[in-house]
Amino acid sequence: MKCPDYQKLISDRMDGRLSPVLEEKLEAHLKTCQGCRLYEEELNIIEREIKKLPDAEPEDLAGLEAILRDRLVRSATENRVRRKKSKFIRWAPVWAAGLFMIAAVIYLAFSIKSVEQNQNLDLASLMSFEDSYLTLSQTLSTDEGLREKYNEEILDSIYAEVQGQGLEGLDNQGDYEEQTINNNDDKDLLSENIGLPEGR
Amino acid sequence: MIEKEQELNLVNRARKGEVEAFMTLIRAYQAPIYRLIYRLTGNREDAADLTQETMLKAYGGLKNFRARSSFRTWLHRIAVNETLNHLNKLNREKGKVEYLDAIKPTDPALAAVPSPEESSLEEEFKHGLERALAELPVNYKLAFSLVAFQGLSQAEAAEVLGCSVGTVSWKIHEARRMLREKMRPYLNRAEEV
Repeated sequence: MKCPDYQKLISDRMDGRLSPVLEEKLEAHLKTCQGCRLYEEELNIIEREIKKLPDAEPEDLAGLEAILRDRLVRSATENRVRRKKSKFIRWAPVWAAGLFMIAAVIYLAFSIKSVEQNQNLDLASLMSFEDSYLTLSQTLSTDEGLREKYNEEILDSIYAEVQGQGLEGLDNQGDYEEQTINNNDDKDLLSENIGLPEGR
Repeated sequence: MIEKEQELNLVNRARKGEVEAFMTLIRAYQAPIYRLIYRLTGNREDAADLTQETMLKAYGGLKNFRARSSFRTWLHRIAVNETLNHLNKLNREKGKVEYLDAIKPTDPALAAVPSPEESSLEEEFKHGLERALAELPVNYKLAFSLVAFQGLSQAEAAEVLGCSVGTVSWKIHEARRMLREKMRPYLNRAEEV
């Protein structure tokens, strides 16, 4: 070991980190080396003086503490707001998915309802046509004047139509009388062939 | 000094946002942290600002404190990082090439050397020592200050600096050797007297 190595041991001894074996070795060296003895002596002087140095104290510790408290309170408030925001942002995809699901369910519910309504409307209009025809038949069967007028109108219109199409063999208006409603016939008009499918 | 159990209790309360619990926690450390930063920067204003920043960082980072080390060690680590970042920034601003070496103190109390007429030999020695300490390279000054001024063990200093105990021990030895070199004129004069 050379002097610089022993100087490291001197430093370790000052910190109380020297093993007894190395301490013995250092002591043996110091007995023979004046330079290292002086080194240790001077380090001890410096160390003693360092301990005497005044501590640099903050000029206004209370003031610093007050400023710090103020900044901490502000920072704590900001953190709370940020945490709330970040919580919302973190759950944003879930919120979006939930809202999408709700919107989809509402849309489907309305679509089904509207289809049902359309179906009901068709049936209602059909039923209304049958009812009207039945009412008309009943009215005509009770009012002879009206019946005659109706038959006349029907015959006229059929005649006009056939004439327009240029069909042969149907020259007389009387050929179409069977299309008219006979008051004396006790027929169920709805069960006859009146242009509607059976059972409707 | 706060007991370990009480310290953990205060940490937990501060984590939940109790500012007063945090203030109690740091009250004992504010002045020592200020002193360490002042030793490293040599500027009272910077020391006050960086102490505040250290405490704010500590408050914000409490969730990361795992209590593996003591709160004191953890706080010192934050203070050291804050100070080194600040010094690094100053160096960059000044366009220095050297990294964190030989920071000259800006505090007149550290920079000025009183004339022999103004002071006794002891005063001169004291001023010389302050200057010598301030002129140590930051990495050596840091290790030396943590142990000699802050009263940390070498193991705690190693934790703060993120290095081995052997490295801390070596840096302290080097700091002592440099101090002795810088103090040689004063030591010679003392011997002459």
